[in-house]
Amino acid sequence: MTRSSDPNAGGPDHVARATRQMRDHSHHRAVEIADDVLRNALRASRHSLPVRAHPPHDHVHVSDRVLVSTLRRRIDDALDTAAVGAVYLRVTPQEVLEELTVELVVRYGEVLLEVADRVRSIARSVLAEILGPPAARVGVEVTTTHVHVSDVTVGDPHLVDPRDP
Amino acid sequence: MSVDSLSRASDTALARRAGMGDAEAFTEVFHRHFAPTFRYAVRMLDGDDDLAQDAVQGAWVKIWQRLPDFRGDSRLQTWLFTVVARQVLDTRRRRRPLVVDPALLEPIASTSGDPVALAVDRELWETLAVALSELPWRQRATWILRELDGQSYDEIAQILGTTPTVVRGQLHRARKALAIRMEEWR
Repeated sequence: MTRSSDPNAGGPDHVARATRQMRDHSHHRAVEIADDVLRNALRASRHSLPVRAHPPHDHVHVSDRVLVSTLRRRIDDALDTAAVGAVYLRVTPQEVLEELTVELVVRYGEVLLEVADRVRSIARSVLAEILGPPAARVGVEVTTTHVHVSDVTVGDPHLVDPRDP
Repeated sequence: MSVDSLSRASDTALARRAGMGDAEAFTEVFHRHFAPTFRYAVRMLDGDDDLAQDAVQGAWVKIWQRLPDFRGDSRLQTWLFTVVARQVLDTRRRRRPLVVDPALLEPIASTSGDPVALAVDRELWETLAVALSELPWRQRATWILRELDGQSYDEIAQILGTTPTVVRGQLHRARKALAIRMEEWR
């Protein structure tokens, strides 16, 4: 390694200077491999449980992940002032969906009963489409958490979360 | 949600959506945090880019698979580094012995255009990179997480599975060793 002719080289100040360089440096390989790493990650399957469709299609099984992602997307797309916080399914040992709980993040000031009714309606519609019409009779629970609105952007439940630091 | 909206979403909101299968939200999380995780892997694996790629690939697969279990008890970045640090440690245990790779000394680009300043910066970068590679594993991990990624003592303790007191001690020793190394180079 070459020695510097800089009389001020070495010591804590130079550690700080080199640290800043290292922190700000963008590794070229990171850019090259990013797309592959992302693509491979998204291809990986998540642990899932089968849910049986309703008669006469009860020979068909649907992944609980499909139900959760479809419910999330449909409800989020339909609501401006509320977003899905979580979706929980209760499935019997016979793989029949028994109960669905949708946890919502709702902007402060919204009329909760109206939002909840709308979510129940969307959820029943999604279940009927995926599992067959009898699934619309599955119990749908809706729980809510408020998001305080400090301004339009910060308070958008699609963009913030009550657990944000 | 549009890409523009996703870029304004908080990490926790994105993690919530990605956990429920939203690939676009996961992509946004990835683009925000991938580079620091790769940098961590490269530094911890002595500049071996191929090993680092294997490690971060394995880690980001696990991140996608485990996001449904993310409860927001810590910052998302801290949780991501917990997964990455474990994967990097596993990779290190399995790897062949190697010497410091010249790629570790990847030179920085000049920002000033001043050849003297560039030479000094380059020497500083190289010296720090080598000194870092010589630190014991935990000291190096602690220093990187603190100085390059801005994690708190509590967060580093969570990532490395230790206590904030131990982190404080490791960081003190790492800083001292690096300062001595830079002083020797003077």
